[in-house]
Amino acid sequence: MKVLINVIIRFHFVFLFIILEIISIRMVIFEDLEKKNAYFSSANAVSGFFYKRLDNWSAYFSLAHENEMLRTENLELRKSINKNKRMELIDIVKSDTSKTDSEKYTYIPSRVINNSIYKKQNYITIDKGFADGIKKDFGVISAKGVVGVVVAVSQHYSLVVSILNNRFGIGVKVKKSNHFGSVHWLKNNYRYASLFEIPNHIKIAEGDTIVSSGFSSIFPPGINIGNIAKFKTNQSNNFYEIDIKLSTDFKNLYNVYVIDNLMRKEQISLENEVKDEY
Amino acid sequence: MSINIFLRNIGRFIILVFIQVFIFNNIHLTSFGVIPIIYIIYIIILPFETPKWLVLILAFLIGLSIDIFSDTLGLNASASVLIAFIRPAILNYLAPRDGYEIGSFPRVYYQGIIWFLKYSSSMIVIHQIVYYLLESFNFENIGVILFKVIIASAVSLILAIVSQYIVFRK
Repeated sequence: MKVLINVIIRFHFVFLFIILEIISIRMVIFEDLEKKNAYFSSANAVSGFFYKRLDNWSAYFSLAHENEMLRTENLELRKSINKNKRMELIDIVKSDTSKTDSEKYTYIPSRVINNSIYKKQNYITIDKGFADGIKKDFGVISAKGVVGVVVAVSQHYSLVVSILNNRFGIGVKVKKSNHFGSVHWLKNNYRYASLFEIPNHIKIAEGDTIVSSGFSSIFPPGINIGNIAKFKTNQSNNFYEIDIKLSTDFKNLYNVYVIDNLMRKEQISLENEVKDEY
Repeated sequence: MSINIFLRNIGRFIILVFIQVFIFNNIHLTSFGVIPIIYIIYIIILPFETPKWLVLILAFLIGLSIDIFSDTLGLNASASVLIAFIRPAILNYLAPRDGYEIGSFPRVYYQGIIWFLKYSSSMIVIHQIVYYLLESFNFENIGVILFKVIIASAVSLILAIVSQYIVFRK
């Protein structure tokens, strides 16, 4: 025992180094999106407070641009309202127990207070937390398309993993043919991502729109992700290699909406029930 | 006297973290978005007499603080701990023949610009290599990593030297 203590005292510097290095490299490797903790992220109270302060200042400089974006968004919403009205006239008799999209999803407006696009694992901090009704696994979208998913929540701030994160993927489908695949970000370019699992026999073209599949309880179906920028066939595994241009411009992301799915519990409990049995 | 140094180091810790997070994290050099590192100055200019284990712990804490603010959990901490570990070896290697003068600090004012250039450049380059290797976690695009390391180290080194003439003069 005495020898052991002597050894520890003698080599305390090396031991301490090994311990600290293991702790920090462990954090890098086993950083788990499922178990992300708000205290160890920029969504904690202290850093959220300062980022919010900084954002209040810098917001003044982008007011004109912000106005323009909100105006175009309003215009598009107005157009879609007109379209919906016409639809309602057609199927006015509806005896469907599944709720329509407008009832099923509620939206919480929020602002981006911290954002990064150049790292390998990019995260976004927004200025709403569980005090505003946000929980883990809520989807986040902007006016132009999908942004990411909430992974950690503190009282007033939340941490969102953006599509620009090589540990995150999202279920999507090709809009015109409804074939589904998944989008991952492996390019290190904030404008592009990769689309996988689309088999070779399907006809696709450059410019085809990719939207969220709506299979998961996170995003409603039909939210824009991007357009096919270029693709090539891979004969070895019969799947396409597709690059898509993301519709959300992460570089000037400011106003976002957090999506709450009111039917989430039901869907997840049903899916888990089946998963346990088979 | 000793309490004074203690407080001054804590203040320096907090100020450097804030400058790094709120100013330099928003500076993106080249199309790869390379961020200049300034908090490393804290580890560089710790006094010669600082116990080696304390340097390790301080490096870990400052790295972790930066990580928490910029959502890069563990990256800055592991790079900083490594340079804190090899700091005594670098200081030993660069030491003048009769050792460092008592009461002097690892700064340009006491040791000269050439000495400081050798010392801080080796610390910064090693830090940046570890940082970018751990970030990408593969050797696939080693050219890009090398490019990032060179740009980030060069700018960080300039910042470290400029800080010697503006803030840490004595």
